[in-house]
Amino acid sequence: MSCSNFYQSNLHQLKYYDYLKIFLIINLAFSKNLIFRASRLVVVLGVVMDVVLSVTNVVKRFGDVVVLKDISINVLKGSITTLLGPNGSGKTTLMRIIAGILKPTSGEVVFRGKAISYLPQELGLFKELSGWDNMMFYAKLYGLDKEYVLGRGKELLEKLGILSYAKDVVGKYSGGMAKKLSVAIALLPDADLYILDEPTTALDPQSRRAVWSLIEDLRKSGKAVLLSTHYMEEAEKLSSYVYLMHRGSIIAEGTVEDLKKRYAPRSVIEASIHGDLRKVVEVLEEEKFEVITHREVVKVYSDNPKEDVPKIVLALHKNGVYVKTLNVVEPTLEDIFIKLTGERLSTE
Amino acid sequence: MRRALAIAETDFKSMIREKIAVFWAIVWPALWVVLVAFIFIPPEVGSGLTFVIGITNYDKGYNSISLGATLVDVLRNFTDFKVVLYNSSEDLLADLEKARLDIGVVIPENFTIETLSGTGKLYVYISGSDPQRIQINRGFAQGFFYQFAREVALEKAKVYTKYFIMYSGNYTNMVIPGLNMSMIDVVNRSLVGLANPMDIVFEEKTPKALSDRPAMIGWYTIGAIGMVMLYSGISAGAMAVVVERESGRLDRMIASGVKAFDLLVGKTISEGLILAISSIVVILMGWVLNARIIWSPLNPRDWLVPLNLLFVYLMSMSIGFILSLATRSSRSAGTLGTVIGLLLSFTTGVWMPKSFLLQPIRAVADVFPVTWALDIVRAVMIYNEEVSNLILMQIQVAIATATLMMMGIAAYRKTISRYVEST
Repeated sequence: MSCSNFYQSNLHQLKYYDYLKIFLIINLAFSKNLIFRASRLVVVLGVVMDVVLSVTNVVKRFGDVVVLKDISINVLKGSITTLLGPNGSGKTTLMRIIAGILKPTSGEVVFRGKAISYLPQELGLFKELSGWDNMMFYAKLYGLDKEYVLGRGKELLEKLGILSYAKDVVGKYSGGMAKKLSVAIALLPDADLYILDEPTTALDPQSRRAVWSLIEDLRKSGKAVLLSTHYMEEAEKLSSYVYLMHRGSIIAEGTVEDLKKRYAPRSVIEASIHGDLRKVVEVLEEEKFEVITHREVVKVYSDNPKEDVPKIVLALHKNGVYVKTLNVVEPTLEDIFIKLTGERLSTE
Repeated sequence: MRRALAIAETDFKSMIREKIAVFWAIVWPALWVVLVAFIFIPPEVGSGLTFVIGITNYDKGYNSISLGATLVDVLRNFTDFKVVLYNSSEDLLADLEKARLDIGVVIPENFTIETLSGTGKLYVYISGSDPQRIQINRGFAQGFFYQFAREVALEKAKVYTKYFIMYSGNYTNMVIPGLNMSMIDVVNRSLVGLANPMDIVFEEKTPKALSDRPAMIGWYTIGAIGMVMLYSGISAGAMAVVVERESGRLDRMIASGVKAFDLLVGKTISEGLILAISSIVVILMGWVLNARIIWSPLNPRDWLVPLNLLFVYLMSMSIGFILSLATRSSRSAGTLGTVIGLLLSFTTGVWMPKSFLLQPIRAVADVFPVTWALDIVRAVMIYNEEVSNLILMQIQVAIATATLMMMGIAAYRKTISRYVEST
């Protein structure tokens, strides 16, 4: 069953999925349509592998503009799946489709669970009401009882450092405080899937780490999280699986390590030296290294820094070159994105 | 329904804490009722205007008769006049120019003699200091003095008849052939006819709405409720979706399972609660200010009042939903809603009586269903109308409300899909 637009019907839930699995396998066995069989196979595998969310071949058009082009993603229980891409890459549109806000032009979204909690980029708060009132409003929409909200709500607000402001009117909050309240409200329901659209934008580093910790706690408790972010550090630290998006398409996917293995440019060994630069270049080129220099810094490209660092230090030492500092700069997801698209991921 | 009630409760709390919303929904209409009661319909309405009249009487009279002194006495005994006597016409005219008087009268010294022997002259000055009052002053003074002149003429006719009897001898009782009347009867009737050629019957017919001051204030009290329901209801309908979209709440609500119906019901309840409070406050305000307000919870007929106010609200909200198709932001929706609401209030007999409107506008007012519903409220609350006289109009109102609501819901669904499907 697919997520459908809210003004037509509510989100469907896949209950009794064991029966569904049998039905789908029978369907699969007797269908002659290859595309249908393939899509059903994905669903069957999803049921087997605890896939909470399965998006298959989703296309979204706004008039003549194609915003999403044949997107397929899966989100597993107990994982943090990250959509990484610059503004306009289609992350928010995809999230809104998954949350049941937008209808896809074509394709299928299958959500297996009871509830989705969605954190939009806009705060979605009543400015005239207190933090508590806002939290209670969304709690009522999710049918949460007061006891649960008092417990979990207080815990979230405390961890985010805004519990003492909970009775204050949101209109008096700073941007960061309002964002934290918005995050706390999104993390409040006992949902199976948390869709968090840039949850740490406008937060200071300390608050950002507090949010990371809460997201990490969700993963540990077996919940599925779909995250979008601009921040490399956030994506690399939290992601179980990453989808790199560019202009409405997924251009690469995998774990952070997989992506780096497959797509990352070489590491750079940066050595700050005291001595004759020309001689250094000569020595390292004799050792078959690719070298460039900048002032007193020598940059050596390496596919295997663990093996190459001792070789470089030894060669320079033999030739009487004194190495003041030495750093290994690992490639980032940003480097991968630049390599794949020729564009930067974020302007920040 | 749980979600709809949560939306209603939170939206209501949010609105009641917004000072501007409270002002427009509660303070503003209450203020209008106060303005109506104290400024547009001041307490002296119904008791008539009082004219301050200055008189300089130079009349020396004739024998023991002084028509000047008689005129002053008549004016003094006339309750609509407050008489101030002056010794000189210069002082009188000076005070008239200073707007201390509405009317000035100078009676010349030969007034009695000239009046008795022919035509007396009287000088009447009208104050032009208040452009609105000058017409009234002039009309009133002319009316009064023409009437006075006629009374004098009738008195003269009586005097001449007396002298005719005294000096005409046998001719007095001579019957005139053809007329079958005596000479004295013919002379008397002719003189009276000259003094008073026509017996004109004047009768005032006041519109029902403006029959007396309590009815007037009651009429405008209902008008204030109608006005606030129109602009608040239309604005609320026009803004219902866009304000949620702009704040980001709409996406969150949808993701939590809220359906279009929940939002529609929640918003309708919250705005309805505000307007119910507003209506009660305005009615109480009118009651304090001596408006004629008839309502008893024990009289089944009187429940037509809340029912029709509900219809007014639902129709206004539906008009707002239709308007939301033409707006793109909460600011434009709010502005358009308020402007259209106020415009309709002043042109459809909601706030201003239809009798005040130009004929083409009155035609529009006659077919505006919100006015029908308010007319029923007024008929019950102010004029104590029988239910049997209201049934037909009540059916019309119910049909119009249902029709407008269907159109409004269709527009609302269109607006929802437009905002949800926008980037």
